[in-house]
Amino acid sequence: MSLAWQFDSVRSGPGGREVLQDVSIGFRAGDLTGVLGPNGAGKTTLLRAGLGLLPLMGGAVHLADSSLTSLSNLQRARLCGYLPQDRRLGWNLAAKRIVELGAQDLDSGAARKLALDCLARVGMGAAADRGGLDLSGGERARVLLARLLATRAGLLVADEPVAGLDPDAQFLAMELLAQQARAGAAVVVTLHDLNLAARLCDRLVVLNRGQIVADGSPRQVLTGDVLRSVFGLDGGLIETEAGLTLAACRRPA
Amino acid sequence: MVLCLGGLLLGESALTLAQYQQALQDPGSPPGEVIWTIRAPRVLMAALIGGSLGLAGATLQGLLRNPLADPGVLGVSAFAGLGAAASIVLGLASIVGAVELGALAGAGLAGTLVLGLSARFKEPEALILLGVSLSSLGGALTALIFNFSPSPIATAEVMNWLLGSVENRDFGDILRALGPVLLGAGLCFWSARGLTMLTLGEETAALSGLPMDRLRMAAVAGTALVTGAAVAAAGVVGFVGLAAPHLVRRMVGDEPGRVLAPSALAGALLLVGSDLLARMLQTEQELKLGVVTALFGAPLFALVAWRAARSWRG
Repeated sequence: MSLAWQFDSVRSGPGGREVLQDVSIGFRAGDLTGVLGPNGAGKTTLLRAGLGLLPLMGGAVHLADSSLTSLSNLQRARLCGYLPQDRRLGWNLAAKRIVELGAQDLDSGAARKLALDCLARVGMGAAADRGGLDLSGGERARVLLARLLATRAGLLVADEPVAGLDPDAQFLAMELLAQQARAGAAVVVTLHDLNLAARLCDRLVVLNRGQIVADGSPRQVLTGDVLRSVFGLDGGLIETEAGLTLAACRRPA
Repeated sequence: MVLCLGGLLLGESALTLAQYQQALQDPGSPPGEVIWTIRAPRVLMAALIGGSLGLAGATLQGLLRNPLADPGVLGVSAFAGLGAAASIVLGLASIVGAVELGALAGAGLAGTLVLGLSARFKEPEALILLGVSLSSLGGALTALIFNFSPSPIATAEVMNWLLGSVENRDFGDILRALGPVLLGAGLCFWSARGLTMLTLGEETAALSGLPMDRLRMAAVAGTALVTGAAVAAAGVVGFVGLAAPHLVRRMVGDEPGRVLAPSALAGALLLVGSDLLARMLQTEQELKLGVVTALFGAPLFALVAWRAARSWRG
């Protein structure tokens, strides 16, 4: 099966600083992959370099078998949708208009219908006419997630999609992304919540100091060793009625 | 319409009803001369300049995602003023079109610089900082010209020109300004989709499928062209570009791409109105257009800043 997104020996970083060091990895359609790692590990850099938002210092990236550099803006937009960490809005656009902007390929009527549908899916149907700047941070995050869904791209990339959301909305957001994966998209998210990652992701990738140090199912990845060496935690995964749960505490200094 | 009609019918020389009739029937008569040769081009020029500045302001506010941006922020106005000042001091003012050409050359130089910088630095903050430094440099060089000006008459002439006016313009002046204004306006309107997408941030816009690099360049080149043409034709007229987009946002909403045309219209109305006011206020010397717009614009600027500060406070 071909890969939706592939990194070959990628080296990259902002401002000429090499954060990612020789990273090679592929993401398959149908998987919800969580990218984990402590602050500064290179998670956002991985996403940005892989989408062409940061220049590569070495290596190559392929989107659906095409080299990223050979794709036009339009071709790239059809293949991938991105939800950045920065959720600031320049102007007070209505929520439905923000979501419509994710569906540039549709005519205005179809885009509006899709926008309302996506807003309903993230639980923001009643706020369609409210201005994005009038929403709370969590509500705005949901609207921007709806915009990502409206792209209907084969690769959906979200940088910390659950940051700032209440617990219910965190599950909702992750379940919506998991649904997209079930429907055939490759979904890649960065996360700090190891519990959510363990419970809802099909695959986890752990980055530390710009290198991939673990890759596999949650059980394979969140081992005592990884928790200790990467996150400075003592503990491990335990099976509960609700699913996998992390039982861990901070290692004493 | 009412303002334009006011601009045609009202002025320093009051005409009687019979004279208005005569002007309509015989454009070559003295009252006809007043209305069709003096007032009509003046109203049209004010509308063209106001529309240009309103469009440039809305485009720049959208591009830079900053409600305080105006056509002066990229330094184009300052360099156009510098070009005009240099032409006057060099004694070229007696040559028809020389001052305008000097202003256009200054605007072109600043526009090219900003265009080059905008290709290199995509963040709005970087463009604002570079534009402000360019603007300061233009202002400083103009001050230097004042400093070394050989005659106080030339200095007064430069000052007079910099205050902005649409007095004594003819249809030829309008036609000369029309080319760059139409080209610049076309570029600004073409960039509208990109301006709207930039609301969601640089990264989302970059991955939206729109040709953002080209749209960004079009917005910068378009505003440089219309601003340069406006300053060349009427001197430095402040605050219209800042105020016009804010006046229409309450009616048409915040979406940058949809603010452009209404803002151009608001700018045209503002300047026709301001020019009418400048003509009607009985002062020993006719008030300069730039002075009138600044007098009304400064309080508006303070209001915008006040609102922005309140929203930052949450």
